[in-house]
Amino acid sequence: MTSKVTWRDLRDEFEKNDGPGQLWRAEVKRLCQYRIRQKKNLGLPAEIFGFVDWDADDLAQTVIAERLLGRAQARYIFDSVAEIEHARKLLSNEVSFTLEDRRVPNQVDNVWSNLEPRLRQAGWSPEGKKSRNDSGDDASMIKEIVRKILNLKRLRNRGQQRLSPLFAGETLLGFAEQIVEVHPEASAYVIQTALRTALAKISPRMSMEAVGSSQEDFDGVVGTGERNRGKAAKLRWVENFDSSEDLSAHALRVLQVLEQEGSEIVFQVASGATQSEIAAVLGVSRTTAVKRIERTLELLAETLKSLELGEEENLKIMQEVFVMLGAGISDGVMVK
Amino acid sequence: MMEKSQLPKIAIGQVRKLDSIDGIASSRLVAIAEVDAMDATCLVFLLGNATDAATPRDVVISKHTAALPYDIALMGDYLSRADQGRLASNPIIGKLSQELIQAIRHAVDISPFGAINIDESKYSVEVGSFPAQKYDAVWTFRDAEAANFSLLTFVRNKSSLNFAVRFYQINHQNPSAFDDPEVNLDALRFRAISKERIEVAA
Repeated sequence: MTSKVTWRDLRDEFEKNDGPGQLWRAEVKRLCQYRIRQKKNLGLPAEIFGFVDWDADDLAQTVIAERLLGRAQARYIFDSVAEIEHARKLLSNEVSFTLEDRRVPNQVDNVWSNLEPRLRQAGWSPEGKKSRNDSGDDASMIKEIVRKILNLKRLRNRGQQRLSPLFAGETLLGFAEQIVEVHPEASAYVIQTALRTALAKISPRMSMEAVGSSQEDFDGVVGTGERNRGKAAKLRWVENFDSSEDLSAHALRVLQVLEQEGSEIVFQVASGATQSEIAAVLGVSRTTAVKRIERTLELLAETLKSLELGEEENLKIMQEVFVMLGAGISDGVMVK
Repeated sequence: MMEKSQLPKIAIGQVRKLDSIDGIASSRLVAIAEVDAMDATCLVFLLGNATDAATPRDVVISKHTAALPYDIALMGDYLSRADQGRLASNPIIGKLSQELIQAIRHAVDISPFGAINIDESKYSVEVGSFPAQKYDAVWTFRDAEAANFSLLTFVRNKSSLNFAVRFYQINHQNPSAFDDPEVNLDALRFRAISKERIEVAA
């Protein structure tokens, strides 16, 4: 249902209260509900965003307190907007940034768990290092490490999954070696603080593609997001599976979700085909192929995640998928 | 609310809202970089609130420096021309120093690629520190901002008929404006024709 609130209503309320009031709150809550629905469809628990559970009121309150009032973004919207659609896009941005900010501790833990073994591999040891030092030495060291982290080559993903890695293993190993060489005295506290600072910069940037200039969020809010609805419907369908069904049944359903083209893409990717080769198979340009590959792999990840099985089971499902596609190994190469 | 006639004149450094174009482009905050009375236009820098995602081509200006309630990012590469009429009816929201505006223009001009080199401590600003990479989503955001900004603004062509009409409309009661050797010939022709008509009518 389309909201009947106009920009004039929001503007008048802002002028009257010298800040956001009930109408603003209602708009933010509506956007939060939509965003929560998205996160739930992706199977993301509220804990990774620092919430006890998914509650639109809680999220709306956080957005208003931390962003709209805390960073005066309500005033920015009031100053710069002339239409309700524009206001909603900016508010949607704020919801997104709030979630990303709150996910940083989780991301830090995630990157740290990948980095620590590589630091040790490179010769770093936490023993004998001060856990915390408030001197200027630490501050300048943290600043330097932050700069290095920001310049690390990031993986091409949106960081939307719970444990989606930001950096490839090789990149982290190179970074670990740099730390050991340039800052051998860096403690775990220093490195984690640097990670937190760097990821606080990286996170909001990662969420920008989906909001701000996109019509998608607004469509979702007013209920006309056909593409999202279709995607969500498929995911709900997958969620209804009985967990006791055998792997073949799961594999068959994965294939049904992927549809014919998606299945072909998954097979080609698994067999090591290049983007150009996949484009040739699909009969499309390389750019289009890249988009379709990305979308298919996201859909596959979401589908497997929605089954809520372990990595081992997922692996078996994928093996079954390839069997169903008629794949086999010939001279060490996967063929159909 | 202040009447339109009471609003201060447009001047360099002012932060104002550039009006939206209904159904085509949404409004944005801009900083005035140059005012041209000849055709009532001005050059404006695009401003945005994405301070966390400011790249080294942007300048993050604190709320204290800009006299705003929030920090703002000035996108150095997004400088274009707008009609004063689409700014004049909106109040001044903030103010940047003329020196800062000139310094940013100069820094952007001399380094078309890479980070903007500006004396951060002198102007109490910060050059964006996010090193954008090839597939970063920030490019999509900036693309959309550029597209919207290009619809809100225009590139002036002093030889065009449009410019001549506009120049004539604004200056037809100010004969000295036509003394400039750079005045568009069509504008001079309009003036000659209208003068002739006035004489005939008299």
